Amino acid sequence: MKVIAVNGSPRKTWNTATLLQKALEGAASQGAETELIHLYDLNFKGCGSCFGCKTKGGNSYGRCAMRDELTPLLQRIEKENCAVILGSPMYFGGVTGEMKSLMERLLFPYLVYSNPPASCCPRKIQTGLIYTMNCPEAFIQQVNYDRYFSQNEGMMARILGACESLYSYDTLQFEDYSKMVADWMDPQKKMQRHREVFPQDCQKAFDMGVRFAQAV
Amino acid sequence: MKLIALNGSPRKTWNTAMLLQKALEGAAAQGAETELIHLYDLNYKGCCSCFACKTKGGKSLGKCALQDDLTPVLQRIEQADAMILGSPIYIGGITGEAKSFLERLLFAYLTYSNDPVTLCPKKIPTGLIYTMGVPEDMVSDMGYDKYFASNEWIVNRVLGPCETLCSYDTLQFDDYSKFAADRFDPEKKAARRREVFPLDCQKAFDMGARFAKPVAN
Repeated sequence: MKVIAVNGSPRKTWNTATLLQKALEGAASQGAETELIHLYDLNFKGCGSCFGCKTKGGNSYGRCAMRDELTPLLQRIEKENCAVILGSPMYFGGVTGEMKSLMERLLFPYLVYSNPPASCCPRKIQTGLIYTMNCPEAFIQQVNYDRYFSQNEGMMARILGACESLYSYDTLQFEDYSKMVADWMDPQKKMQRHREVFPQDCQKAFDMGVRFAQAV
Repeated sequence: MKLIALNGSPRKTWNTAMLLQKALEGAAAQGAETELIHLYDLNYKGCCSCFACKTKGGKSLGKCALQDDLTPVLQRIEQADAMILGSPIYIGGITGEAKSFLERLLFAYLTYSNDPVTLCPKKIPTGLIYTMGVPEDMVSDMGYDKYFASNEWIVNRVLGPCETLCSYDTLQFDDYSKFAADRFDPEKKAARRREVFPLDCQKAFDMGARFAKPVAN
């Protein structure tokens, strides 16, 4: 049993990566093998729209035909008995471009253009989505994030098998706000939230890892 | 007057690229200099959250400090008079490559402040062209209308006046018989390609023409 976490943040030790580490700690506490992959370390592109994955009788039907540094990860997710957790900060209303490119490559090959749409993913994969964002929870509906999150979760569940989401709001962006042009933010409130609420988010991530290790 | 078009689609001759070509033709017809850049040809990443663009007194304040193939493109956009970004909609949003580009372009100028709201040195009129397999009557159900409006809002705030052009229910393949794609009716798709897509091309042409002579419009 294994849990693979994919860090879609460019930062390797900040909020998203911390939550993913906690999730993996939770999984490891149940005896699972764990692995953390930093997406920004890989040289890859999003879906190349070659439609190899949709070509009847083709040797890439149901699989991504592109070959780059993402290919081994996609193959392992399909073949290994693993759960997968994708973590990303919210940039301009969505996951990072790098995470979006991975999601295209991971999901589109399994999406079958039948009516209704179906999945040809060869196994049921337990997945988790962890989002970190500067946006406070009170604004989530106003900026339509709630809808975005539920659509991603629904799509992941339909195509890969099962999905749950975890949100960390109003996160700390910098260690030292005095060095940055950022008068929108109140450094003391940010620091306080980081001390008081972020540890609870970490606990939720740990619990997700525990659940996933038990489910695999 | 210079107009730069960015192709956020992996395909260089299909719907998105065609609409961008038409927009550039419209601008060229007004005497504008034009350039089409295929984002998939470039080796770059999205915003790496170094926050150099937000660092007080830093030499990269208001500029993206990340150096890769996108760097000269971002510099040329700052010198251009207008830009158009085109992207297909993949699983509910613009392509990851287009998204990574937008992060680099917008976040560097965006300030976490209300005065000023942007560090972009001038207004850059911007067009957003979206192509999608989804028919127009499902756009609201899918929440795409709100997505398009929020993209327009942020571009308007950071770069300059923004307009949006959508091409719905697009043709995905030349030959549907080669693909597992029962949910699409190849004849209806072909008819729409013949009858509606040329109207979308005309709208793109008109957008290019408007950008090339903003004062007259």
